[in-house]
Formats: sequence, C-alpha cells, structure tokens
Amino acid sequence: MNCQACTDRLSEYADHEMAGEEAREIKAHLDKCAECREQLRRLEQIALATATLTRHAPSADCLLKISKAIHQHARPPRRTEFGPVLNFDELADYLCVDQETIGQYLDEIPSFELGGTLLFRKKSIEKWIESKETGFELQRMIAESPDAFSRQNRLITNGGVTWTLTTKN
Amino acid sequence: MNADTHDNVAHDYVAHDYVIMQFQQGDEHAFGLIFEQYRVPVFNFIYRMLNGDRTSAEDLLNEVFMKLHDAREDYEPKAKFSTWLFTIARNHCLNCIKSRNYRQSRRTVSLEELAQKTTEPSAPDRLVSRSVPDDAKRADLRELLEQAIAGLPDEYKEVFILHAVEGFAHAEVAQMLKTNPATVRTHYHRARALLREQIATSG
Repeated sequence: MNCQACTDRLSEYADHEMAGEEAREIKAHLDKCAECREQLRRLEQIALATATLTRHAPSADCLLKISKAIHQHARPPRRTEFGPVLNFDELADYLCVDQETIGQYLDEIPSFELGGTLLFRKKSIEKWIESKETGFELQRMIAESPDAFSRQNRLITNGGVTWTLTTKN
Repeated sequence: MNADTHDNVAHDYVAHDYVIMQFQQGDEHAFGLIFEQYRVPVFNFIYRMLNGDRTSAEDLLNEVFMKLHDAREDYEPKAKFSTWLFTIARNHCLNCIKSRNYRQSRRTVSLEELAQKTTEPSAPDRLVSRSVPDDAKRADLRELLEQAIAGLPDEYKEVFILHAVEGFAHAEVAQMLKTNPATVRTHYHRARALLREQIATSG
C-alpha cells in the first residue's frame, strides 16, 4: 500500500469502519510510515477539537421574538364533534371561522342566553346557514312562486353565482 | 464565552412522545417545550451553514419553527422527531441560501469575520492561553477548525455538521438528505480529509 491509498482511507480507518484485511493493510503501512501516522494524528486531533466546538445559541432578543410568534401562532386544534348546544368557542370551530368573525355576526346568528352565557342551538344554526346559502335561497324562491320564474329567460346573479332559468311555457 | 454561546454539552435529542403528541394536537405549551429543547442544536446547525451570519440565522430559526408548527400534523413517528425537525431546518436553510443568492457574500464576509474572531479570542480562551499552553494550542486548533468547516463545500459541510457536531448517525443524515448512508459516509470522510488538509496548510 502506498501513502496516497492509505490517506484516502484514513478517515474510515480512524472511525473503525473498515473491514479486517484492509484495516490490517493500513495498520501495516502506518507502522512503517511516519508521515501517514502524522496524518492519522491530525484526524484524531480534529475529532477532539470537533467535540469541543462552541455551541452557538440564539440571542435573547431572538428568543423573545420567537416566543411571541409561538404564542400568536399556536391555537388549539379545531373541534370536529359537537353536541346539540354550542358555546361561543365551539360555534367558531363548527363554522370554521375565528371567534372575531362570530363576534361580527352575533346580531344575526340565532342564540339564547342561560346563566349569563351565550349559547347556540345547533339545529337553529343549521337553519341559519341554509338561509345564507345562495343555491338554497334560490330554490326556496322558485318553490314558493314558480310563476315568477316561468315566463321568461333570466340570468340571476346571486352571491357571485350565475343561474340560468329556463322558460316553462 | 459570551451570552450567546453554550457549553459543549451532550444534548438529549429525544423529545418525549407525549410532548410530541400534544404538540401535534396544537398544544401551545408543548410547542414551547419543543422549541426550548431544540432551539440551540437547530440554531447551531443553521448558524454554521450560514458561516456565522447571526442575523440571518436568527431569522431562519424563527421561520423553521413556524414551519414546524404549520407542518405538525405531517410528522409520522416512524422517523425520529429530531430527524424530521432537522430535515425541515436543512431544507429551509438550503432554500434560503439559494433564493437569496447568498453564497457569494457568505463566503467572503463570514470568513473575514471568522478571521477576526481568531485574532480576538474570547475571555475564557485568553485565560486558558496564559495558564495552560496545551489548552491554548487546542483553542488555536478549534479556531482553525471553525474556519476550515466554514470553507467546506455545502454538501460536505452539512454532512459534517449533522454527523460530527450534532451527533446524528449516517443513516439519520441520509434520511434528512434523501440519499443513502453510503453517500453520506463518503461525503463525511471527504469532509474530514479536506479539513485535515486545510488545517495542515494553515497550521
């Protein structure tokens, strides 16, 4: 084995990652080559120095900033199962919006108060949702007064959705 | 040693299963515990990958933990949590290096900064160098090593830091880099050979 072949594999040898025969060849070369022994010594020094490298840590300002971000970012998981009556938090999860949005619509969302707590009946909420649904409202109007829609072709735009009604007569 | 460095102590990278489960369910306190446990090793990795650019490394640390939070439901316990977290950190780090076209300035500015640091040893190092010559030599070698690591190509550097500095097994590093352990092992030994040559030249 020559010096080049030895130094190429020296790192593996130093980590004891080498199989028997090859390791024995390197050891035999090291026994008679001072230069390669020096290379091995350097590798061992690097391993020792690596173990004592400074562990850099983020500054206090950075930690404060991230802690704030964690606080703002983290929120409890959204509930997916609900009873017949919902409280304010559950309603936000049920409607998949934040609590601020619920606050904005509180005047029109059906609710009742019990012992100072505002509560929402799930069935009433479902009806309220139906009243907000574009397609549902249109179908209700047609069902209630079909004549109003039967004598003309009309394009009705409601809630961003365009409906084409066909003439019956 | 300044306030922003830690002693080189072995870190327990095994987050408790229960804490991870709570974190995945959105528990803010569990997220805080995970941040507390991993902030130093993750920062240390990013800081070294950016060759000592503290401001960018702190920005990235913030972004990595926000990404971790957003991806919390994607974690599957078949991989170690630390491996998953470092995968996020590594990918985000490399993306930022590429997207900011950061490489050029990183090489030149940071090496100058590191060179300055080697001429101005920290207080404990000065103390050591007056009292124990062997320790002074060790401190010099450490500084040379810091510079040599900063000068490694990225693909060798990340493997060296993750394996030799942060203590991940070759197989875990391979998982992070989406490659095989043999490639990681090769990169690691090449990194060490380059460090050895660099230190031999500088020393």
